[in-house]
Amino acid sequence: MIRTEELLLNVGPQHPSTHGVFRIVVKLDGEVITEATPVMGYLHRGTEKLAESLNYTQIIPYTDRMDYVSAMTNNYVLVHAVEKMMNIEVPERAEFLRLIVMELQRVASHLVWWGTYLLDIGAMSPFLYAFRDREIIIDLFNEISGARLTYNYMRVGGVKWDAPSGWIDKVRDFIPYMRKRMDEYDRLVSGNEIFLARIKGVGQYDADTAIAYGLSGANLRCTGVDWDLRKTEPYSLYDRFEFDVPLGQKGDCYDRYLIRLQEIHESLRILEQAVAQFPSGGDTMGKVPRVIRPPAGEVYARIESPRGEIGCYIISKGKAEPYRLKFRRPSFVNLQILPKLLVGETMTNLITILGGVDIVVGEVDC
Amino acid sequence: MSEDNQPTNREKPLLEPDQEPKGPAQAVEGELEASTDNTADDRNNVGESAANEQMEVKQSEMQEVGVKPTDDKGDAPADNAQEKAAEAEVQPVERKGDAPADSAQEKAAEAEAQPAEHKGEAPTEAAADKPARKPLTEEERAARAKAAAEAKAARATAAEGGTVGDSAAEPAAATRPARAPRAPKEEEPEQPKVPSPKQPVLDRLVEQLRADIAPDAVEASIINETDGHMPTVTIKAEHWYQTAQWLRHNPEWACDYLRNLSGVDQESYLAVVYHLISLKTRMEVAVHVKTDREQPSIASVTPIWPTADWNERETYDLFGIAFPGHPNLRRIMMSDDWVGHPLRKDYEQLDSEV
Repeated sequence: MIRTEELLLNVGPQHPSTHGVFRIVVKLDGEVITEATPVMGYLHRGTEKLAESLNYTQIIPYTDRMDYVSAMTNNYVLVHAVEKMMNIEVPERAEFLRLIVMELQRVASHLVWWGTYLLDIGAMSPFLYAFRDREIIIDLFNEISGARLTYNYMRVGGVKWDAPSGWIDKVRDFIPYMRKRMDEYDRLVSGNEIFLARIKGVGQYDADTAIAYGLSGANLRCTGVDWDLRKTEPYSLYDRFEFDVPLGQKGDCYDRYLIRLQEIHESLRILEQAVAQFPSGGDTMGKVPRVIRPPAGEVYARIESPRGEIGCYIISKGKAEPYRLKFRRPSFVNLQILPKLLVGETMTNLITILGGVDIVVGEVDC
Repeated sequence: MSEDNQPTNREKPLLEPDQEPKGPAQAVEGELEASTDNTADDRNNVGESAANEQMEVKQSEMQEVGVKPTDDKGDAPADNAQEKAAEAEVQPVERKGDAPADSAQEKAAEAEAQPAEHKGEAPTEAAADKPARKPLTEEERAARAKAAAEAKAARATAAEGGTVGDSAAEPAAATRPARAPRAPKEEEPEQPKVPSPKQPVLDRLVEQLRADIAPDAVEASIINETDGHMPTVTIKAEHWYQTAQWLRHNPEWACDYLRNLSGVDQESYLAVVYHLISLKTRMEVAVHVKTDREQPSIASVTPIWPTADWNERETYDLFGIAFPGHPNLRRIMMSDDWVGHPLRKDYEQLDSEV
């Protein structure tokens, strides 16, 4: 007689497919998962506590380190919240620069996701392609901010640096280059039968579940819910540009995959328009008091990061430091659905589903 | 790296500011050199950036020192007064350029600006002559302290004028005339008092909640104008679960999406703030629920919005608020044997070594 026994397996915290220090304890019945318990906090740095003793400009570098794959959007959510509280007007040129770097960041972030996701599933070379192309964006960021990952680029009221001469042209040149690459990606991967067999119909959920779990970004839109904050609650200059919000139908990993690739195309579209309309002159900093001290009150600013709705809830008591600062991190919220999705799946699908959620552990733990 | 190892070139002090900050910027530069096509231009940029960054940091330090007294003003008990005070502070900064009569303010600005400029030169001198560095910094420090004191005094008088102007208690002799044109400006926002476009929404919600949940369910209700006229209600903790259910299922509201859940330590009490939205009707509301500091407890809404699960665990972990009804209320960020709840204002680390 075969003796069957429940097996308790620790995946992570040091496991390449967990994208950082994330652990998940799974109970296995043979190859099938019967229970999954995520364990996190390995990267918890207490950003929200630290922020209470820093002034607003000093907090910006900390946002870089939350979602370190998408630091520009994190920068933006904080400065946007403060600007909202203080009613600060941002010069057009600065806002254009912000929008351009945010969309470049979205492309870079999705490229990281694309490369690592395929790596998780077992394809090595797409990772190299993705990082080759991402490198171009990183170089652009390096030129404009002086850093490759943690940019600390935005400020309350504008941006720290104007674009160096020729920078906008480089962005313009990047767009057709990236489009060509996207075709290459599609030819390489998107139609691959083995790949499709691995992700089609895996990790499926419906729109009601997605909404109840508070999912956002591609994780929500893959179920067909048309919810992109760039459209529904336009911030920055997004209402000036034409772009579509790609939607899925089935809510499986394949839909999420297609949406993210399509979002790269849409970001390139936005970039194309932004570069064409980029103002030739103007300031990069608005009129900002010497000490940034928002009036007493509270604000919840939210924007669409590559991973979904990133929010910044600030309570100010009229001081230079926030009284309470809370980040709504899309990775943290999106990850909650994982235990539900994993029950009944096989171990191999754990990697597929976890990768499909697209988390950055720095943001899960904050 | 090579520049760093060489002794500093003292013959060309002009080059120094550019070279000096290279040490800290080295890491960035290493990356830069990897892509060979951008050399001189970028190097300049990096050097400049580091120097400017330094300046900025120091400048903000200065501001901190210079501005201290006004900080206290922000503590005025009533929210309204606070807001006004904040406004009063912001305005003069913008107006500085066009109001030469505003002597006290001007002085403060000067006092602040001076040392900041001084700072900008400091690295040059220090780099040009290394041994001279120490005395220079001391001198500098003295200058800075003096300037800070001046600024403090100037600001204090200015601030006094500001508060006096607000409360209309004492005539502030010196600053009064300069301030005169500002007085009407301050009252301006009060005069129009255009009712918020969301006011009827809020009124209706409060009315409905009083009728459907309990007459005393709503403790307070305001329109949060800074946050895009967000209707904000404070619900009594004992009525919260029922209210949450109502907000979720009432066809008019149908708040199916809990976008944010945040704990707050207000020192005299703890609170949880929920930001709700309906993806169908686009109705939005922020709900505050207050709870006692000693025995904090708020009904869990995880059965209504599963997304509250980890958010409530996080709030429990960091604030110590209990959520009865939660299926699995354990710590999530801190380790299970952690003592205390770090985001509380009175939190003290058990192990100071950490």
